[in-house]
Amino acid sequence: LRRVAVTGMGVVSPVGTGKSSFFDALLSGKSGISPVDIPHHERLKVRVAGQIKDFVPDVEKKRLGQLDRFSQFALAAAREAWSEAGISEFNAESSGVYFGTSIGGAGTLEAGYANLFQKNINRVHPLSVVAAMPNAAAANIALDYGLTGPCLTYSVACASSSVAIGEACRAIQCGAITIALAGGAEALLTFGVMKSWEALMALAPGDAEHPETSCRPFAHDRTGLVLGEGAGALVLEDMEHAKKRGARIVAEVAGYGLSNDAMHLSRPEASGQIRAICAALADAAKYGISPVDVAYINAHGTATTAGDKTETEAIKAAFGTAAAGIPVSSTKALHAHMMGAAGAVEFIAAIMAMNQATAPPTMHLWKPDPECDLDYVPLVPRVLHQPRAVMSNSFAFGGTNAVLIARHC
Amino acid sequence: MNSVLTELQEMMRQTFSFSAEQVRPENKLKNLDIDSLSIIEFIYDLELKFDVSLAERRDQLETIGDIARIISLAMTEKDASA
Repeated sequence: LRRVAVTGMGVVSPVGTGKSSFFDALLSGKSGISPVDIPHHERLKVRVAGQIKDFVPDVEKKRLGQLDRFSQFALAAAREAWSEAGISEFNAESSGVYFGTSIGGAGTLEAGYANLFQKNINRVHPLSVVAAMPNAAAANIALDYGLTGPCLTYSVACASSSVAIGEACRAIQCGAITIALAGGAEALLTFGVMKSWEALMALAPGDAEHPETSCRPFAHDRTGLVLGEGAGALVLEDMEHAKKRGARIVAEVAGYGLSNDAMHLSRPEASGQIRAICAALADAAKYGISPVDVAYINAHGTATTAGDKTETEAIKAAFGTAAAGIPVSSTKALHAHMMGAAGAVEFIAAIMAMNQATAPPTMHLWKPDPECDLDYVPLVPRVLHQPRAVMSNSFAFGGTNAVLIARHC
Repeated sequence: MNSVLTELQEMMRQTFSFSAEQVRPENKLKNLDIDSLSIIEFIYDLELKFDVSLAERRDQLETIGDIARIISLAMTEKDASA
């Protein structure tokens, strides 16, 4: 049985770039949600988002035309992860990229359409195709590090990067590859995409007085999700390979569970979520982790009325009476819903919670919902006592449920 | 023509960090070691700057002098048709 080590992690998020500032912000309750600043924002009804406003791409200027914002995020997160992993010599052919995104280069597409349909300019940027393609982020990562094995992109809405990480682990476990740069990236804060989400009526309208508190997972007064953007990346490595080269092992990926509701395109379904959680727990059992070892759950917790209630039900069903004793939090209250990047970033948050023995709180949870009755770590961080394992949930439109478990090393 | 050439040379020096020697009119694009995607992007930048369309004359854009000449020609044609 091959095991999977995490040897590097990188984050670009609305609450900070770099995993340390990211996690510090989660612990201190610093929100990355603010009034959105994009062209035509005055025509939006929903004007808050987890927008990254201070991001400076660290690539050669002449390459920028090839890189949509989502790829720029991906490269920055990958760089942090790869640098932490400290891999100098490796077999390129057995190294791959497993990345997720829900839309890909939304900004590039929209700029092209604006030229054609709005500005009456009869041409688009000549690199629109290669910048907008959903596999652009993965391809650019493979280019930067010379990874010549599989280079795959998973588009599974909100579960994209959890699936990417899980599938990378399976590829390592079956011996197909030795190293993977896995994660996800999203940059969908464009007028058109925000209008589409607005039309779906799933977004929180935004708190006028305190926009930073607009996302309130599990709260009685929650009003929906807040869109975000960013990227998360992990270096995953065959455990033996990592140990042999003397790498610092950050954690072990010890469980992956996957299911589809096959019930409804967008409505969350507890039975599907339960199957994914139980599949992840069964997978973790092979690596010596039992349900009682799960010391913290980073919830999907998008702050929609149905979603938070359903997830609560699923956690209770999967863990039974033990569920009440597990700290569960949704960090989306602060970094918003980063869609294709959410799974990776939240898995990283869970791993950091484990390694620092402190669970980040669910912020803005002043008024609990009686129907959401687990321990959501409201408002203040929680010290965890020698955590052995943590879980991260991602439940997507399209019905896909993906659950990851990490073990302390 | 000469002002177009001068502007073109200046743009190439800025975009690709070329020396004055590298942007001589007789130099061929293919010998300048520019990435194929970057050339496409640069031609697009030229189209925007000079407000002309060069795509249909791509096969005539061999030297830097050619590019300047084709841009000037396209500008003249546009003025004539306006």
